[in-house]
Amino acid sequence: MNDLELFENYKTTVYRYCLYMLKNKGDAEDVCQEVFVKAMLADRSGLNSEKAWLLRIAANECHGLMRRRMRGRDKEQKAYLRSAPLVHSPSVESGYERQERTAEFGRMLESVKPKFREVLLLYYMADLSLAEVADLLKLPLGTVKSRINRGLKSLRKLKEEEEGHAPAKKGRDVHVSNY
Amino acid sequence: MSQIANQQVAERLRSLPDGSPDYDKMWNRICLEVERRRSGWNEQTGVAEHQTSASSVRRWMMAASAAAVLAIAGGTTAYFMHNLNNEAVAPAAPAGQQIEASAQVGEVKLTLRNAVIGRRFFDEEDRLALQLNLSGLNNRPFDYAAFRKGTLTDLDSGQNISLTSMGFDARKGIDNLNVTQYVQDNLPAAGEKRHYRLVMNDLYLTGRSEVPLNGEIKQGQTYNVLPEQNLKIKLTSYEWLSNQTKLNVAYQAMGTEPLPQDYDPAGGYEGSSYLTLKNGDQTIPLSSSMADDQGKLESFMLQDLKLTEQERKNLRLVYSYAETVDKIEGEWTIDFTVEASKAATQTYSISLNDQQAFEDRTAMKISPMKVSPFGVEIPIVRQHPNSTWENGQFLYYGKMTLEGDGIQAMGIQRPLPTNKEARDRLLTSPSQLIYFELGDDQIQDLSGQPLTLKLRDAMLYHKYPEVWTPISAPQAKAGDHTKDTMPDGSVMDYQVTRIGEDDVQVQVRGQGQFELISGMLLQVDGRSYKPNAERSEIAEEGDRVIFTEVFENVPQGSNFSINPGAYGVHDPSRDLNMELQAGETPKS
Repeated sequence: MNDLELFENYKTTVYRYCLYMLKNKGDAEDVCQEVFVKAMLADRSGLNSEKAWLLRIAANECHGLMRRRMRGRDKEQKAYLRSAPLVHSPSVESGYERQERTAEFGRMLESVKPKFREVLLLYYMADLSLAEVADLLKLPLGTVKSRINRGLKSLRKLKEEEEGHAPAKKGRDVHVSNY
Repeated sequence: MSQIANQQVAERLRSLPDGSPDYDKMWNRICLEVERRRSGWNEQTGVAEHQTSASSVRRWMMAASAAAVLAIAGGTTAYFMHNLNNEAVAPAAPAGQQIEASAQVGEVKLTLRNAVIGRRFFDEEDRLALQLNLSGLNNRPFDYAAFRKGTLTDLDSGQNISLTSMGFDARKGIDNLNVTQYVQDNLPAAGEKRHYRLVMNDLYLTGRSEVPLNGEIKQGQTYNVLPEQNLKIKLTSYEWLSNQTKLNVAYQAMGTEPLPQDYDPAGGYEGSSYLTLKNGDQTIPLSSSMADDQGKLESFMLQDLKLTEQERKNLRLVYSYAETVDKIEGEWTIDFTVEASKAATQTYSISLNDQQAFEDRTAMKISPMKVSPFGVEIPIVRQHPNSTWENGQFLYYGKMTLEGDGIQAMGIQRPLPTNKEARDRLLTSPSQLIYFELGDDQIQDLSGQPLTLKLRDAMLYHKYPEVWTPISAPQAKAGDHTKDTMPDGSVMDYQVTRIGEDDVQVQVRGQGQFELISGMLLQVDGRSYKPNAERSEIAEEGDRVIFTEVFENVPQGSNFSINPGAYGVHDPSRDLNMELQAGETPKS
């Protein structure tokens, strides 16, 4: 697979993984680009699964960025406060229920702890096998299974909370910016 | 969860939207960057578009941050190493298990001093900190030392554990060349011992050098900076902005810029080349930098220096670059055993002497706090008596500092109510966390230690949907800065400009008291317009923060007005110092 094919085949998977791990479009673009830059500079001849390998790079990059974020000092707090979060903007005007559901689901997913969110994304979204996820994250297989179960539990709990308490969406003020 | 529900989750995860990024542009930037790195040009990365909202925010973050990474939207990551902590804090007393195992190549000794295991609250994971020291480099002039390669092996399982790159910073002296390596995998469980082997290969010493740009500084001029390497610098722009308080410099390197050998941008040290500004002997640091295939654009903020006209004219540009100045080839191997009973430091509960003062100022309750050798976690719960956000309600502290013996850490609060969705969520799920993560040299057992929590820059929520500020019809020439007093008494300082035929830009200057949060609206002849969030910008000018919103497809009309949406007002009366005491009772 040449470089362009590699990018075309896996750009969406890598980008979506980054987007839902980092919860910020700009960061996700940065990390996604870095993943493919590293991939193109590397020797890929001995790889069994290019997708798993790319996601391993993405996971490392995301972990690194999250670590660096946490090393913030003083004004970084303010910068973080002001930085634009991931925008889902379920538009009342466009109003497609499916989009609404998907956006709600995306928001719920963001509320799941990173370590659980990560395995859910790799296993379900990226369609890796349990063994690949375990290998990629350097975790025992049992831990991966346990994290998937706990991630699913978190999602179910969030969904129940959402269904039980969320305010009705249809009356939302269309003029209020969601950024 | 049932199998059916699992399938639904899987389907939804597979159909998650990606927000439709511009993959074509991304591909172009990737190609540029790959080409650049292959040519060994430098590790800063291509930015095809200089003006996007996210990039503006990030540039500002870089300017504001003392720390390491500038992530530029549209490019990848550029690394700058500024001193993380300018204020002197005494090193912490060693924590965990004392190891003191060494390996030596020639005179250069690598020592593993301590191993500390504890809980990191950010991800609720235990981790092992290995505190390493490098010595024996006394007679070699250098700024950074970094190993070309490092591996850690769990000898009990045979598994290799990934290491982050380790850069030792010698700029403050070579007597204390310390780094801390963190490991989250293959830790010994309670009561266990685990055997490890650390192998580091080939130590590279990097020095930074400076070459002044001789002659008159002017746009279009070419300067011969490294003649022996046939490297010239062409100044493509030299532009003063913002009432002569900001300098933008753009340049192209004509030739290959220097780079340390086998340079790893993630190596934890500064390897890039750039221009710095000198005011006499004083170096004015870069506030932001971008690179693309046309060269680099750098900005310097000078508003705090209050330079005279003559001093401005006397400023000099200097080309700063890094190169490998020495290399010690060899292998440093350290076998060591970590005993959980010695290395693990408990998570303790923490008590607070005056919780009421916090509640009075924030209307939030503090749940039991926890402390580990790596930081402090303070859970807080918001009180929303009326299930809505009310004017004057506390949002967050902009600056939170934890201080103690050998400790000075800044706090981060998550999630933050800085957008409508987060605020809505906090109405039904009011729990938040404040984290303080200790620096590498501050790791310690905090049990029994008195700590001071300093909370500053309280921001209060305000929103008056019915209050509109009439403005003049926007003109292509920027209007005057106008001030309007809001219902709470704060002052909104704004400037309106029409951009082209269709767009209107509104800039609001935060004056240290008033800051936009989200949801500004523009009204034209009774019709409301939302800004394009992708074009929102935040920039810092001295103590001010400039918020820019752009409204698109705005017709020529007769009656214009703006509403700031949700905004924050600082309230210094809510500043608070709290005394904490890490308890003796381990928290399970």
